[in-house]
Amino acid sequence: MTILDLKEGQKALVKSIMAGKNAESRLSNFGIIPDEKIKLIKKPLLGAIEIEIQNSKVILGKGLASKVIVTTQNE
Amino acid sequence: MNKHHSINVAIVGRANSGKSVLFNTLTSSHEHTGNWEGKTIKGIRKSIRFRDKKIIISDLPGVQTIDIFPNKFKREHKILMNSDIVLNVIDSTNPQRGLMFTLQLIELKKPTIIVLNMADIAKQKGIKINKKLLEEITGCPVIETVATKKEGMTELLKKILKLKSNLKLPKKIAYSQDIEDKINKITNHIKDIKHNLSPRFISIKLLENNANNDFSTLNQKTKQVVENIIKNLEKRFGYSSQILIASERLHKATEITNKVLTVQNVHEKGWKKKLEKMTSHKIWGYLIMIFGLGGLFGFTFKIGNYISLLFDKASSFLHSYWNLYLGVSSASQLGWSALESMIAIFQITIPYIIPFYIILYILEDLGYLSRVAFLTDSFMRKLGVQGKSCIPMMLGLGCNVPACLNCRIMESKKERFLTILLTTLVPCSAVMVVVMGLVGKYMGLGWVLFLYLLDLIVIILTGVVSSKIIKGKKTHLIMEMPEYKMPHLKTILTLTWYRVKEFLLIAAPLVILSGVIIKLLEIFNWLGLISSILSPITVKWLGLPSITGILLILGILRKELILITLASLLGTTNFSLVLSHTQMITLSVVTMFYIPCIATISALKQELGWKKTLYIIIFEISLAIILAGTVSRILSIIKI
Ligand SMILES: Nc1nc2c(ncn2[C@@H]2O[C@H](COP(=O)(O)OP(=O)(O)OP(=O)(O)O)[C@@H](O)[C@H]2O)c(=O)[nH]1
Ligand SMILES: [Mg+2]
Repeated sequence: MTILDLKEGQKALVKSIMAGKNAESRLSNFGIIPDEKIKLIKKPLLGAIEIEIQNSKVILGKGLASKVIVTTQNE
Repeated sequence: MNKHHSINVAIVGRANSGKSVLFNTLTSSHEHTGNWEGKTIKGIRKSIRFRDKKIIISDLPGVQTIDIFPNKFKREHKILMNSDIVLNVIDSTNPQRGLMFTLQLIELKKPTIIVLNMADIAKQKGIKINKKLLEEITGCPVIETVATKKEGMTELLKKILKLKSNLKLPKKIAYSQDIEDKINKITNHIKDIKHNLSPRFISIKLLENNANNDFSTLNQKTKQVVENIIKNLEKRFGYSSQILIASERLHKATEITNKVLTVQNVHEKGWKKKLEKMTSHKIWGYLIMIFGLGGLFGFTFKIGNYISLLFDKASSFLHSYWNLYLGVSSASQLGWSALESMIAIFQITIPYIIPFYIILYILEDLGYLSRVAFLTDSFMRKLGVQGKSCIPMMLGLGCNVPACLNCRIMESKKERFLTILLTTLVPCSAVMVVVMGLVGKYMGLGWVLFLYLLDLIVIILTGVVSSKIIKGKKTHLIMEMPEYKMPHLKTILTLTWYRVKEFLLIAAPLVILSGVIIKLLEIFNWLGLISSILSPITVKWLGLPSITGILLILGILRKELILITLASLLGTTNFSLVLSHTQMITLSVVTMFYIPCIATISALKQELGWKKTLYIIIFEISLAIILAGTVSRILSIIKI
């Protein structure tokens, strides 16, 4: 599953990033790399998604979010 | 200046850490600040004197990484590399993020002072950072500051002098053994290459192997060695080397943060959390956005109208005295119309732009613009742009010129062009003055909102259509969501004052100039002639009085001039004498779209070149003529 499949308030672990070098580098600048814990905060219909990672809040477009593969912790 | 006597200091760090506020405080400048990432779009330098030393301070745009051969920010890169001392500004409320950047400066081996800014907010949150320990770990002097309150500035300047007289390089911070081995291997290989950067920095960048760096100058053998090392590493860990390095930095930064940071649970201010929840809520968020923006104009309208009416009274009072003492000869009328054009600035512009800018700056400093970007991202993608585009567009409500420059935050060429195009369609405060002064004053707020809605629809349609026509890369939104901050009132008032002052300095001479032009034209009997050139459009198609032709020409200089010049021609701001309601709406629609003002045109030329600027101008003129004519026809059918 990807970040996009999480529900608001749900926590997960980043597994991998299915994107090119460029997207990968942009994501890693914001701490979004494998083995990091994230939490989906908000996912409004017309907007982007907001996640919490390492104590900071990051917003990312849904297209980018769909490239981040995660697994929920109770799996 | 003798190079040895001046100290070059570069302010760097992640976006939104308070670099520009620090720069403004140190150098008494008024550079743009606000609570969202990416405001500073190019490096700025200014020199100051402190204890007989000349210190040249440069404020640089916020970045997350330092590249070796950046394709963006080339000049800024040079400033950083040529600086004697680097001030690394870190947001104390989230040092881990800042330290990820600091680690790169340490790799770079630049004498660095770590500036833990926003100490006030950190304190409110019960965050304490052990400065001494951080100093020990990094080898860099550490200082706490509150840039907005000028706290820590003298101490910072003292530290700069001290570091300069006793240059101390940062300590090496070692990553995990595996990575260090590879770094060393590469360092050995590039030993002979002459470069002004630290070999360790270059090695790590080579290892990182990211798309922003261009290593084509490297010799074939070294390239091969590096490639092999990377392949080897990636095979072992199963991740790209780029992710491996990022993860090393992240873990180091976290490790250091855990060592130096203690958090006491203090009661945090509830309003921020509540507001954050509400404004990004899937339903409330949108309602607040719509009503918030509506409120922005409603409030401006109410206050502006109130003050404007006071000025009206004062002006007609003055006019009657003028007539009483000077008579109603044509000379006295000429004098009055000159005076009236100056009074008109205060009657119809200042009352609206002051409250408007105050609120816009409050929204910006609070951190609301990023929420708009967040709430609208998916929607904006349908217009060929992304959520971030909303930020320059919102700024465009104030003035299109800085807004177009701020479009540099867009990453792809296509998105930048489209964002600029849409931004020029946003009605700026000068257009607002015309709309409020005509439609608002004589027809009410409802019609003002109608016009803004019409503008919004035009923007949406333009985006949808042109995104289909213009080819190019799309990028995805990613940025830090800033926490709300209590807007800093003094900064906001100062920025507003600077806006007003700038306006008066530029507008007043233009008002006089256009007054003179009009009078000269009148004397030589050319006024009717020039106006009649445009009359096939203005009179026949748009149904406006023929005099509007000359007004629209002058309006290219500044759109407020349309109304101010009309006032000086009439000798009063009672525009209902010459314009019917339908004509007021038509003129407003033309003003909204017909051409970007001259300052915007020159900004466009700088950002896009002549060809694209010309496209935009032609597009907007045709748009204005077609739209205003249509609106005028519909309105005369339904007879408002
Ligand atoms: N409370 C508080 N707010 C601060 C302090 N320093 C800066 N700010 C606020 O932080 C926000 C960002 O400040 P800027 O100086 O514009 O940030 P910047 O680092 O230049 O950002 P970019 O140019 O986008 O990289 C503004 O809203 C400032 O008012 C501080 O010490 N205390
Ligand atoms: Mg800045």
